[in-house]
Amino acid sequence: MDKKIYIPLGIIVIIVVSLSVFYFLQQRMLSLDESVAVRPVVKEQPAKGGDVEAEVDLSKDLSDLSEIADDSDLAEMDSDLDALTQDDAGGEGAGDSSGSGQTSVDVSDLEGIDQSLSSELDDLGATISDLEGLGDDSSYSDLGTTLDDLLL
Amino acid sequence: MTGKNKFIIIALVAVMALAAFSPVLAQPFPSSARQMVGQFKTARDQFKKEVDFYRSSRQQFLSARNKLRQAKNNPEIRAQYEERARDLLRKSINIMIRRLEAIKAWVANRKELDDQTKSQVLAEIDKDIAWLKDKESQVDNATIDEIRASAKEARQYWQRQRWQVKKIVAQLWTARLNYALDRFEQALDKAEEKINELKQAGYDTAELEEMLADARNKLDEARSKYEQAKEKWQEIDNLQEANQFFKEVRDYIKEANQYLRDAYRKLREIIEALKQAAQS
Repeated sequence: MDKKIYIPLGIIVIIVVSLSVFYFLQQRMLSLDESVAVRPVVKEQPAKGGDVEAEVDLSKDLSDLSEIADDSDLAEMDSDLDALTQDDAGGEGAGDSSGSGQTSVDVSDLEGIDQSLSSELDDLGATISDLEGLGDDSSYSDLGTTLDDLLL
Repeated sequence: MTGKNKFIIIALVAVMALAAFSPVLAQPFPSSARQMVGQFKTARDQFKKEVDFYRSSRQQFLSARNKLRQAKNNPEIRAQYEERARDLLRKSINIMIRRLEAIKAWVANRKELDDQTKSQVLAEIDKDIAWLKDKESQVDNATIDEIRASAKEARQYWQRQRWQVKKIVAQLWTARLNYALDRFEQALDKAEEKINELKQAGYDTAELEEMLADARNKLDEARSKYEQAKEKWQEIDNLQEANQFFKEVRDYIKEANQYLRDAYRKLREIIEALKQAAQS
């Protein structure tokens, strides 16, 4: 066989294998994304004393915790505070004790704070129960005895 | 061999190497908080599974030990017993590793923790995981005497881990609570600014100020519980008192959480009142 045939043959092999590798990588990343995005509802075993939440919707947890991780609410708070420093605090309603006049007070940003703190409380609650499960070793407290058994 | 042929062979080898390492390259990077939270859930689930494996392995070991006691000179039964002992030691060490890995996954995904707490906890956990993995790697080919020696070391470590993990969890709770307290403080400051603006605009804000004072009282109560929790978790340094102190910290954190919820309800009332005042 003419040795020149190896050159095009080699190029074809490289192209085919490269495409296979990239296809494999792409599929793997997609499947990983899906495995994170889709979580089943998991029933947890309540710990002794029934302290731990009975049921956790993981999808909701993921959504709530993602909101917590996002600090855009705080970023808005910063910009709002900046904006407030430029407002004329006296405004049109100054001196109008009846409250019938218009004011320059904008409370719409407090709505964002309300939602942000609600998520904060949800996450704090989840944190308490998540970590409580890891701190509680009562379900395998016989581990010490087990290791003693291995000494015999 | 010609130069072109050499080039083709090298290129082929490079592509094959790329294909071989593709699973490594395809490992997910923690590019989003969602992925990192998923990593914690996965680590926690693996830890729970490991506890189940341990329970099953313990039953098999006890059964093998009973058989051995009835037939001490039977080499086959002795070999089975040794294999069960190896398996049980491996599972026991794995529980400790998986537990630490679950905590590590939680810590790594939290930006609410300050850097000092995070790096201190992670360093402590990494050191322990490395030690345990070293012990685990020695189990497969261990003789019965080596199993005994490893079990003794693992037993000593377990005594320490029991209180140490409680201390870490209590520390993490407290740090997480502190972050929430700061956010509530900022929110109440913001509400106070709005109330002051209304006041300067001529509105009667006495009721709003009273509501804000109530909310601040609740926040102060929560902060007081935080201070108690912070003081208590630092006292966890032995097994005897670990359970009691851990429960005390947990109760402080839960009480603080309840006070924050009360403060939140007050804040919502303030926001509603502010909205009505601004629209009037």
